[in-house]
Amino acid sequence: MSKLKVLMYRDFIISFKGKFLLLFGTVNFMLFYWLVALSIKIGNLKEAFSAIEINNAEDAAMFSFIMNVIFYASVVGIAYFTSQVTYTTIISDVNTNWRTFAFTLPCSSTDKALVLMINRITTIIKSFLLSVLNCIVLSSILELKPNIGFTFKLWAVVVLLNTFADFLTFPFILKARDKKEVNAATFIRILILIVLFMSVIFLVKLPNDKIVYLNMKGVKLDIPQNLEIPPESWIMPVENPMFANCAAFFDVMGVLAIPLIIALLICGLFVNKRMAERRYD
Amino acid sequence: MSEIFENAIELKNVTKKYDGFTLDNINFNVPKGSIMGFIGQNGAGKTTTIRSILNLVPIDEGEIKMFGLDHKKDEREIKERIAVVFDELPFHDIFNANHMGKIFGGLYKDWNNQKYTEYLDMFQLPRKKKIGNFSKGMKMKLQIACALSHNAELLVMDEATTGLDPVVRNEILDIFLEYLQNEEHSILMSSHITSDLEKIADSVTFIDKGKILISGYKDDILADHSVIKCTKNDYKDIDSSDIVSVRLNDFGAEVMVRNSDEMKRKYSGLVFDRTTLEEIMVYYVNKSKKEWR
Repeated sequence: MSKLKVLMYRDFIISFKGKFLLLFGTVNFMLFYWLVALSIKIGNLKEAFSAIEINNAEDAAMFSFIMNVIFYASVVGIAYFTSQVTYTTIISDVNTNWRTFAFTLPCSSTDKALVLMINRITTIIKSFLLSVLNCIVLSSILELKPNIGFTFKLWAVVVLLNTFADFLTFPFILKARDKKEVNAATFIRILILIVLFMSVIFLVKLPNDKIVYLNMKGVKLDIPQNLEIPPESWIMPVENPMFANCAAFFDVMGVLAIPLIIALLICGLFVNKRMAERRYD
Repeated sequence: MSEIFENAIELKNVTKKYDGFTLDNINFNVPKGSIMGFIGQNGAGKTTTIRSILNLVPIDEGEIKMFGLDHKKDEREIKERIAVVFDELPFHDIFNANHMGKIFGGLYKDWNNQKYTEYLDMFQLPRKKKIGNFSKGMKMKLQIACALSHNAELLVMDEATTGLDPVVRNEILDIFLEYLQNEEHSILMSSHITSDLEKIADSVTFIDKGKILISGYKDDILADHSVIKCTKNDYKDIDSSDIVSVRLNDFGAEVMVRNSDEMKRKYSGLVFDRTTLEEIMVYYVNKSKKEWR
C-alpha cells in the first residue's frame, strides 16, 4: 500500500465510529421528514391539512409555502449534517501523541494534507448522494416538483459554508498540541459556522420591492405586493409563493458555490500542508 | 552498499532556548554500531535533545547530522532509516497488532512483515486484541516490534524502559543487544534508569540542566571515577580541585574523584571504591553544592 493509502486506511478505522454515528443521525433526520410527509399524505396530518380551506390565492400561497418549508428545510438540514467532516482522527492523534510521532515517520506533509482533502471530497460526494436520495423520496411523497437547479444551489451553498468553516478551522486544529487546544479549535469552528449562517440569514432577508409569487406549477399568482411575509419565512428560499426575496441570493451564491468549494479545497491543501510541516516547541 | 560515516548521530553546538530552560551548546556523537546511554534526571534536557535530533522541535543554533546527513534537509531519507520509541505508545487504542503491521508496512519501504510476525510471536503479543486492552509492557513491546521491523539503522528511544517491570526490561534489553549484532545498527537510548544502561551501553552521555556533564565510553567513565570513603578529617585533606562532590553522612564522607589512577597514587592511604553510573550521575548533579547529604 502507498503511504497515502495507509494513512487513509488508518483514518478510516479511527473515524469509522464517528462517521457511522453521524450517518445514523442523518438517516434518522431524513426518516423524520419522510414520516412527516407520509403523515401529510396518508396519515394523521392528512385530515388536518384537508381541513384547510383554500379560498383565494393568498391561502394557496400559504399552503404551498408550508409544503415548500418541509421540503427545503430537509434539503438544508441534510446538506448541513452530511457535509460535516468528523474531527475524530485529528483529535485522537493529538491525544495519543501520534501527531508528534508522525514527524518521525517517512510520510510527507503533502500526504497528511491530502488525507484531509480526500476526506472532505468524499464527505461532499456522500452529502450529494444522500441529498439526491432525500429529494427524490420527499418530493415523491409530497408530489412536489421542486426546481432542481434551485435545490442544487441551496445544497451547494450549505456545503460551501461547511467547507469554508473547515478551511478556517483546520489550521487551528493542526496547530493544537493538546486536548485543550483541540477543544478551543472546535469551539472556534462552531463560532465560525454561526457567523456564516447568520450572515446568510442577514443577506437573504434584504427587502425586495417586487416579489413575484408563483404557484406550485410555476404560474404567477395575483397576490398584492403589500402581503406581509411572516418573519419565520425570511430565511426560507421560497421558489413558489413567498421565496422570491431570497431567490436572487441563492441564484448568485449557488452558481459561485461549486467553484468556491473547489478553490477552498485547493487552498486548504496548501495551507494544511504548511501547517503539517510546522514544528512547535 | 555501506556508506562512509563514523557516527550515526553528531551534535555540534546545539542550542535550544525555552522560557526558563536552555539546552546549552550540546556536543556529542553516537558512533556507528554502538549503543549510547543518554542519562539525566527528569527535566535535565534529554527529551528536548532527542526532539531536536528528530527535528520535532526547531533548534536555535548548531548542527545535527545523522548518518552524515543534515537532520532537516535530508529529513525524509533519514526517517526511512531510523526508528523511534517513545515512553508512551503513540498508537490509537482502537488498533490491533495486525492493523499496525499494515500501517507501518505501507509507510516504510523496507518493512519486513515476516520479521514483524516473529517479534509478535517472540513477545507473545496477540494479533487481534485491541491495543487499548494491552498492558504497559505489551504496548512497549509492540512499539519495539514496529520499530525493529523495517531494518532501521538507528534506534532512538526516549525513556522507553521507564515504568516497565524488571523482567520485561531485561527481555527488551536482550532484544537491543541482538539488534546491535549488526554492525550497521546503532542505538541512542535516554533513560534515568542507569542500571539498564550500565548493562548494555557502550558509551554514555550525562546531561544536567541543559548542559552535558560527561560524554564518553562507559568503561572509561567508570574507570575514571572512584568514590573515596573516609572520615570527615580525611576528607579535609583532599584537594578541592580533585573533588567532583561529597556526600556527607553521620559516619564520614564519600568523596567522588576523577582520574582514579592518579588519585590512588596521590591519596594512597585512603580506600577507593568502584562507582556506578547512578552514583556518577548523582555526584555530578550535586557538583554545584559540593557537599550534600
